Amino acid sequence: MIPAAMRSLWFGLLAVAVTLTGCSRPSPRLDGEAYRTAPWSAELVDRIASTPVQADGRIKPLSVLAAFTLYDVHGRRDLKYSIPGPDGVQQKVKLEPTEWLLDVWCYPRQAARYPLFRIENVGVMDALGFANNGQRQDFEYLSYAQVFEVVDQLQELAIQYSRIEQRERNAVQEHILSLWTDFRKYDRMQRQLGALHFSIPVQDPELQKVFGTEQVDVGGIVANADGFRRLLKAQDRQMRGASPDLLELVEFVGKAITNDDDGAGLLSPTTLGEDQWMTLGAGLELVIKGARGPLADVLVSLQRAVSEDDLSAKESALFAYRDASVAAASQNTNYDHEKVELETYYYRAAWHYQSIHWFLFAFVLAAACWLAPRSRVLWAASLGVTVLALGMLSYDVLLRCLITERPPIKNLYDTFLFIAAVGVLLAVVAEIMLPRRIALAAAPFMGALLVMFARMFEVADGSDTMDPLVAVLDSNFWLATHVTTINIGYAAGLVAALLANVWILMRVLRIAHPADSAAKSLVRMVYGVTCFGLAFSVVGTILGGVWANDSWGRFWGWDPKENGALMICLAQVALLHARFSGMVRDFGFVAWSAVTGAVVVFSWFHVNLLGIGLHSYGFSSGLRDAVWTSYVVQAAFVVIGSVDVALRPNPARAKRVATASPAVSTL
Amino acid sequence: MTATGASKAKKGPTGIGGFVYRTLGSMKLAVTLFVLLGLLTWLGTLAQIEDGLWKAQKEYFESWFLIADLELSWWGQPVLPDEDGRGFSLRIPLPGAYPVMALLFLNLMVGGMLRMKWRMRNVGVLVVHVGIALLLVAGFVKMEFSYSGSLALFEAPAEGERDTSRVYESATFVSFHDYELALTRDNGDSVIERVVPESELLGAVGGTVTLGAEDLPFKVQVHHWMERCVPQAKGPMLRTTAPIIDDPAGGPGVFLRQLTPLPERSANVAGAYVTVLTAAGERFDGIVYGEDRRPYRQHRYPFTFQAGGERWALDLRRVLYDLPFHVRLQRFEKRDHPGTLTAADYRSFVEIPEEGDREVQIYMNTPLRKDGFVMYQTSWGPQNQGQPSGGPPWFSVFEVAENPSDKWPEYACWVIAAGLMIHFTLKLRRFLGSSVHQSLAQG
Repeated sequence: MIPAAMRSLWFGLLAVAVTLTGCSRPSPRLDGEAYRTAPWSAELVDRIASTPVQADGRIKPLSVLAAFTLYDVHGRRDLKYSIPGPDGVQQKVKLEPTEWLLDVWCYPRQAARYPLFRIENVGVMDALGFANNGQRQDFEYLSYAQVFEVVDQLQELAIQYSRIEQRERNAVQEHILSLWTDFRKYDRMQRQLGALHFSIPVQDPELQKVFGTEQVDVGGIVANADGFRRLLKAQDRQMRGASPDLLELVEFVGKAITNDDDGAGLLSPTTLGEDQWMTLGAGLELVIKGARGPLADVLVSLQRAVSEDDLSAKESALFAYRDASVAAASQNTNYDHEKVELETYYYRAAWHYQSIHWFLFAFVLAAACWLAPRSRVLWAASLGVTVLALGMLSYDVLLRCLITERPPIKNLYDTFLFIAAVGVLLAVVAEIMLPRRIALAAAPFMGALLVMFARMFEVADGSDTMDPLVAVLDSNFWLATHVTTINIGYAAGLVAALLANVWILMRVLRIAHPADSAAKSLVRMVYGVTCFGLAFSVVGTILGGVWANDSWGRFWGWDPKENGALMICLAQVALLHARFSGMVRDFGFVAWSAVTGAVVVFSWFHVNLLGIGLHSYGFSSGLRDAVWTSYVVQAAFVVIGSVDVALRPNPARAKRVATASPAVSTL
Repeated sequence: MTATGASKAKKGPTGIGGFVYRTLGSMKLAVTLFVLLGLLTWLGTLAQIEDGLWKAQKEYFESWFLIADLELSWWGQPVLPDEDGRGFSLRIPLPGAYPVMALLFLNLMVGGMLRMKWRMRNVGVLVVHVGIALLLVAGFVKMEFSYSGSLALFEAPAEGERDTSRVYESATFVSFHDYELALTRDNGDSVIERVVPESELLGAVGGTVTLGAEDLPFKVQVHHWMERCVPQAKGPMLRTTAPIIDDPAGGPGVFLRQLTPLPERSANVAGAYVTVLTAAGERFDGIVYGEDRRPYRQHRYPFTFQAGGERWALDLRRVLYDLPFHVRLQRFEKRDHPGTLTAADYRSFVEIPEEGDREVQIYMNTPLRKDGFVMYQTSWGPQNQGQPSGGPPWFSVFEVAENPSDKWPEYACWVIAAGLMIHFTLKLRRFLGSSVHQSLAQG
């Protein structure tokens, strides 16, 4: 029975893999000429990744700024397009986020034509007047240049739709608003170095003497800031008597200073103790006022990176920018370059991503264990690989803690990794205590699934997962106690539900009889994990109340997140009491556990989709499909299991159960 | 303890009393109540989407009975939507949280303590039950004896620079939600005040509530109570069904324009019409409006009239609570995350004049506890600006609560945690040492 079922499973997985491979679509073509004819060197991409910048309230590596901006506006981890090769055949190009950002900054005319904004609703194309062939494909990409052509129309629609209550908006209206937001984000990113792409001609001999050229750009102004300042000081406040060239130059500088004032901080502050970084424009202003040193070096090297035509010259300027930026930042006592390097390493190593492969490998080994149930080697190998993957995942979580100087969970993204780690650990412990090769497979399955969800969420949400905390969460004590505890409860609830589903599956597929020791072991595991989960859910929920009492002035406010936690406690405590009182037997027990898993999903995620409550720091809108899918899957298990119990009750069941174990478990 | 063991538990009373005793202490009742409370919690959470927290809380969690309205949805979209886009609704009759929690408490006492065998193996469960009981009692005490409100203060400048329109120091705070109608008499030497709580004025929503007393030379009729409204001048083109109050000075009349109540009740400003009928047969009509603009000093406009040779005033206002001490805001500090308007930290430096100007810091997660009252930092204003420089000064908003059971949930938490740890550790030890484990582990 087991080999047959396993063979079916293998063939099914193979069929899905083949189908998915066949479904990949060709990369969109890049319209027009590609100005960058060779890829950025790996060395540059590697080194420039750790250039410090300040965005969203914290200092982070440039690669992280690039990555989350790309996730946000593009919805993918990379950007793909195709261009004609020397032989005329289309060649695929794949850009990593840092490469993409370098293109946006150094080759803006090329980057503006990249297929960037993902349009999933043909109504959006219609509303903006783009030709389309109906909903023939799931989505289309529009470039910045394409959207720029209809930007007035887009803005008008966005303003109109923003006046409609969010709950009243339809999909097209939501999509238009989202496109407008993404467009502005890209525009902001592009404007960061926008001023460096312009220069103005000067015929005034005095200006030519100061700048040593007839064409002045920001880099030239920075390099000759002293002379420029002297020129300005020689003028009166109204600049009466200034030459037209000087007036034009002053206007140019004014625009350059304000052009990127809503952008990320690229330049470290020069005043000790100051924690706000400067944009390029703010840095330019400071240099004109007399600041020198690494700040000026950063600006000059950025100017070179933009102005040089040759790729290698651009790269050399970018190396100089990186070194000057680090040197400038290191002069500030608030800056910790080791942390930026650590974060760069964190994203480059991506231990959680590595763990997915090992979890999957461990799952395959566990599945092989089912085929050869007597093999201790396979069992140990699967367990060992699972523990190895768990180690990777835990190290990933540890690195996040070190970088943020916070306990493991700060936001919704962290919960995925933490719950995955705790869930795997729980299942491993269950397997060691009751080695039936069931938790052995459940552990890596859950680990891989949740880490994959984490990665999907990271891209879908598109916001930096290490952003600083809002004031109310700024408490390492409560993050370490309440948040950690309640999430351990979530993890236990999910593990119990997963094992419960396995029990139902085994019964429905006749892999194991409910009276078999394998099924009985599963019930024991579900019971044990539920007890464990209840303890943490109850304590975590009450600790949350105690925290709320110190923050918001009340222990309990019927806030949706609080209610979700209470529902988990009630579901688990009701389950244990129902079991103890004999209200439910094995099937009722596991079915209830499975439903409790849905309650966990409701509390963990669904309440964040309701758009109400005080826990708005965890809100996300890209999770609806995942949440509803989990409900449907869970409901399907319970319904199919119930139908199976109703239609195919085993005649030998009562007798065998009576002899195999007491009707009521001990509590 | 097994089911068989449970059935042989302590013998209780017999007859009807015994039946009630056993039923109240039964585990099946406990399971039913857990499920009901879970259902109420779920439905009450969903109800907040449409109704807001305050209304959902009253309907689901502070009620004896309700008919829940569950709008069906699939993948976030309404099922079988009507013309307004609302999905098909199921109407489910349910007991409110009051009877459920009261029964749960009784069930806990009878089944979880009295009927349970008091022996070593149950000690963890007993401890947990004690903790849960303490938690429920804390909730009851909070519900019955606690009250809370808001206090907003401006940063106090030096003595000579204070603006009379602003509140810098206060020994009172106002309710978030509840109103009271205050009747004051000013006889020149003193002000005598009587207040009528909002709960006694609810009849004025669609009817008339008449207020009076033997020592008053008039009666007051309150009518056209509106949960959310705004006073508006009656223009020549404007039509309204609400009564128009004439301006004795000859200006346009004024009326209350009814607005759709917002889900967040504290955002609604209530108003009503009042009619005063004096013993001398005079009649005065007016409007009372409950707007509160703290920390700007109240420029209130009560409805005033003459009766019995004295001057009287009727004022609709948020319920005022007294503090046993004064609070003065000396300074407010807000620090944003660099380059953003997201507050990284905000805190108030307050002084309590009764304590010789002792300065206390109040900030997130660190309230001030004094004389049974707790002051929490909740907000500030004006919003969306950095540190004012030459602009308006900061004001700070506190929540003030008086709750006799303030710390009880924390104690309950430790008791429950200890109980659960004892119980499940004992169980795990027993299971690992049992023959059942050996047989299951070996398959």
